[in-house]
Amino acid sequence: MASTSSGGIPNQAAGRKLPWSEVIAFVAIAVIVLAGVLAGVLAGASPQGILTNVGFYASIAIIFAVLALGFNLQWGYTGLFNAGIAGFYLIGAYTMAIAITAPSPPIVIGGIPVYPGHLGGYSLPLAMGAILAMLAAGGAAVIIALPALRLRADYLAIATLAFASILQILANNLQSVTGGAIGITGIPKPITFVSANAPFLNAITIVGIGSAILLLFLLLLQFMAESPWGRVLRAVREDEEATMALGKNTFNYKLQAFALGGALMGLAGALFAVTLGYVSPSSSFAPAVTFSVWVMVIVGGSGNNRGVIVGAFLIYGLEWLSVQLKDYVPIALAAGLPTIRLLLIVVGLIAVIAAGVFVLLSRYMPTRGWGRVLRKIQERGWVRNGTIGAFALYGLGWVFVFLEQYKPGAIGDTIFYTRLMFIGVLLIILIIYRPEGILREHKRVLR
Amino acid sequence: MAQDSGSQTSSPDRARSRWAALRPTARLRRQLVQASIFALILVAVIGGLSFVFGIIVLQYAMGGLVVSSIVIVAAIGLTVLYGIRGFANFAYGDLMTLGAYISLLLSVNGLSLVWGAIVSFFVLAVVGILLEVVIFSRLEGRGPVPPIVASVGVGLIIQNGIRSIAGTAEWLYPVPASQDIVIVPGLGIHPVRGILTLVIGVTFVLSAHILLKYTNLGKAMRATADNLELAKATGIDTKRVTYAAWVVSCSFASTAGVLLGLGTAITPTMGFDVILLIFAAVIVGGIGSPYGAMLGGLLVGLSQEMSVPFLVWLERPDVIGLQFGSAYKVAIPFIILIIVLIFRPWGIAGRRPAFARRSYFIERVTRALGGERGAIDASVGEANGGR
Amino acid sequence: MASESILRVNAVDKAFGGIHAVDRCSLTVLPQSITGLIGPNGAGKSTLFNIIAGLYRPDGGEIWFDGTRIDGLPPYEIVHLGLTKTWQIPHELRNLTVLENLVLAAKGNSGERLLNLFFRPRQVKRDEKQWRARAREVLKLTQLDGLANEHARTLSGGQKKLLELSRALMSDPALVLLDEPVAGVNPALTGSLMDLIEKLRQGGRTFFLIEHDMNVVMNRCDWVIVMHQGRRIAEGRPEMVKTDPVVIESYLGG
Repeated sequence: MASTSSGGIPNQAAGRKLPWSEVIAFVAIAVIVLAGVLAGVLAGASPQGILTNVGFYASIAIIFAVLALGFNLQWGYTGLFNAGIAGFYLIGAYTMAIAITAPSPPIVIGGIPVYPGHLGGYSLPLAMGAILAMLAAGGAAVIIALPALRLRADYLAIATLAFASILQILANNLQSVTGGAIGITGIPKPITFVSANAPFLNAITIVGIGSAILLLFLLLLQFMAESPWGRVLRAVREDEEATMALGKNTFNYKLQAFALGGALMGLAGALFAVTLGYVSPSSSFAPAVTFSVWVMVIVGGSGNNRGVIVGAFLIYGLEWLSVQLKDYVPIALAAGLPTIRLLLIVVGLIAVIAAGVFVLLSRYMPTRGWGRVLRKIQERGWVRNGTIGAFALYGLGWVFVFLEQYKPGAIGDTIFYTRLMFIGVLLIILIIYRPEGILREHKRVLR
Repeated sequence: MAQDSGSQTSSPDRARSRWAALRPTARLRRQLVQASIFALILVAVIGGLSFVFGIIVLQYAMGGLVVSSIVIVAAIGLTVLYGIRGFANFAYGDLMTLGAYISLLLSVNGLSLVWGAIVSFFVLAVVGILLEVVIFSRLEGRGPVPPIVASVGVGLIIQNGIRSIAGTAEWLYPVPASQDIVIVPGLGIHPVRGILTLVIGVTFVLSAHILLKYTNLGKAMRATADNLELAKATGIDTKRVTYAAWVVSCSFASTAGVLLGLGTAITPTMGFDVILLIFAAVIVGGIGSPYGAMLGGLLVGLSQEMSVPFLVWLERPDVIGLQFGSAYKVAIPFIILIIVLIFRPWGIAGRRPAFARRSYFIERVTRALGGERGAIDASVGEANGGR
Repeated sequence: MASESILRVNAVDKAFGGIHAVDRCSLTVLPQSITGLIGPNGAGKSTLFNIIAGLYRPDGGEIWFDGTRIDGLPPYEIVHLGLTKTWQIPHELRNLTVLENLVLAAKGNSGERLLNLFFRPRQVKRDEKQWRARAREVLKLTQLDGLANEHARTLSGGQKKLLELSRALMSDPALVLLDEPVAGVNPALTGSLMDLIEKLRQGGRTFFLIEHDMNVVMNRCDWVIVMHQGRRIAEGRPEMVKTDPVVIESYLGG
């Protein structure tokens, strides 16, 4: 891990070994992008179209990375478990949209109100809108934190989840402010291009601006989190009572961390509004967003700012890839159905035989010689995990095969849900076996 | 607690004392009085409102009672698990959905809905044990957050598994169509959606009461929820109690899901959409306490449904002209929840949290007592003066 | 009398759901003393410490520290007045290093205020450097300096106790409440630890400690207070307390 500057005082990471998990994570991101590009090439898209698509991936991943940074400040550093990330995100997006769009009066066609209009139309500059979005989300975080931060983690989770879902109800129904189910459209881009290449150029500018913001906040957060202030936050996470007995006003620190984290989520919302060009109370602000951010932070390693950014690119990459592959998997499955069946049967048989042989061998073999090697392998859990993995693959494969036969074309839709199931599986496995994440929090060696 | 006497005596005595347990003790009598006062106030308020605003209020109150009975069944299940395992199960709504879909699957394949519900009741009980064995037993003693994360994962798997298998379309249970039974003009109740739900709700509340109060298992569950270490020390098989809690919790989830599906339609998100309502009921009543959950469920369900006429009134242009006023009814429980969180985080029924082991309040108490659990009865001691 | 005491606890009461953990307890601690607090398990000693340190609000009574009334103040303000406590069960911050644990315990480290990070970077840097140097000094005193950059969770039980004491010393307190400081510490270290406490006392600090190790109490304390069932039942010089029939009865009969 590279050394990072902290509070002006040099810190040194402890490990000097090649960080394999980091390498794997980066390779995985590269594979995801390449697979997406390959899918585009197979679909016969133009190079520019493919690049635009990759740019879209990068810009949304950056937004998720900002969300993950905010959540990391709250949970990874301070131990405040926020289940309403989507709510702060929504506040940021709507504040931005209301601040920077041009006025949009209600539209009535033939006496039927088609569009209810929305609050705002202030046409403010983008930076102003982003600052307002951060203030609004940070303020909301303070309001929700005042009653809830005194409580245990699970109460905080429930209260924030309730907060997020109230906001979704409001966004849907408070038409005169939010534009109702249609939402707010016509959000201006940072630079208005008038050419056939506009989508491409827009994607490039947004990725540029987004990565600049991400870098800025990464450095800022790294500076803050590695400072004495950040040390108090980590102390609160470890043991709030003890920190209080060491003379720290822990409530203040929790409030600061929660508000700053909320403000970052608001910034992510503002970026989202600009990237998409519209906001609507649709799935963009569903609880699934919150859960995805959890996975990103847990995968990346809570308490590690760089890690959670990697997590965001990885996990959003899976979602993006699932959209890219949506059209190809069913075709491939349909074409190669007999082969795939055969393959599945072979995989299943090998798994069963291998597991059986292993169990028998390790049970009846002497503890010397190659029996010991076998036992050692078994003790490490490779056999068990390998068998479980093979069976999981086997079962999943058959589910797909049967689904394809039962309802042709269903897999295309299924893939989206399968991704969410995969996130669920990932949450469970990581929290049980590797709660510290792929890129774990490093030890601060003070000089 | 009060009925613990006589567990060591010989068999005829034991039989007698078992009946003695059913005889109203002073505490039970006091609770009965409190409950009837509460019911009386409730009836008076609703009666008064309906006297002023007309019979329509009674109709809404009826709807509220029906919603409440579903919420209560779910809230008991959630809170029992919370009391014993000490975490908020965010997958609970999705377990309800799973129950509803299992009975749907059976009932569209020719089984009657009743059998479908019974089978899904038992299937979900098994699912509960599996969840504990496979996932949650590994997360014991790691604080409240890891199990929450894992339960969200379970919820995502269930919800999206259902979506990818059964699709996102709405389903309806194959129940014969019937008209509302008119009690008085303007006040009707649906025989299935109303009466059946109410009856099942009351049955479940009563069975939960009997389970917790009069069976050894129920007593062990209450003791474990009260104080895990003490329960272990007194020889209660806490592992068995944990499994029992999962069985109760998940099977109640299944029935609540079926009732919810009867009331509306069956969709993959039906359970997740009501999870916050159930959390509200649980927290309002005092987390971990089944009796609090009953009270909280009643309060939350009634307030949600009975807020509708008020919200409709707010919609009038001469009031504040709220758009889609009745859509906000689902926000009412959250408002109650937040008020309770501010002023009484241990819930309105949690006077002295005896059941809510891991509540905010109890935690401070156990921390304060530290390792010192000796005889701390104040009796002797000299007068304390200055040095 | 009251004016010369550094800590005065006056008729403090604390009940937990009907259990009277501390029952109208009154006591005083003289400055620059090592005062022991003993009593059978469940006598309310730890609870009393928690109340004095502000972690629990007493139901009644007054606590005066160095001329200031401190009952009802939050713990962090009490620490800033110069009263620090250690825990019976070590509350080490597990995933922070030993050195971080110590630096964290410093009072008035300007870098712990968010705005200072941006507006007074020089001062932050200076403070941090100074406190790190101080932390290393304290670690030398408590013989933990070899473990400075280890995670606190990797320490042994006795080392965690030492960490507790070191942390308490970082805030430069006038009065330290030690909750069983040598329980779990090996005997050789116990001696040097108590020597350290003696040395610090000569430097002007006051120690108030709960201890079950009678050797420590009898040989090292100037004054011993005995608690039983939430009350102070006896006090005096160690050798006097040892022979007090009330005390013997409370230990044997309690």
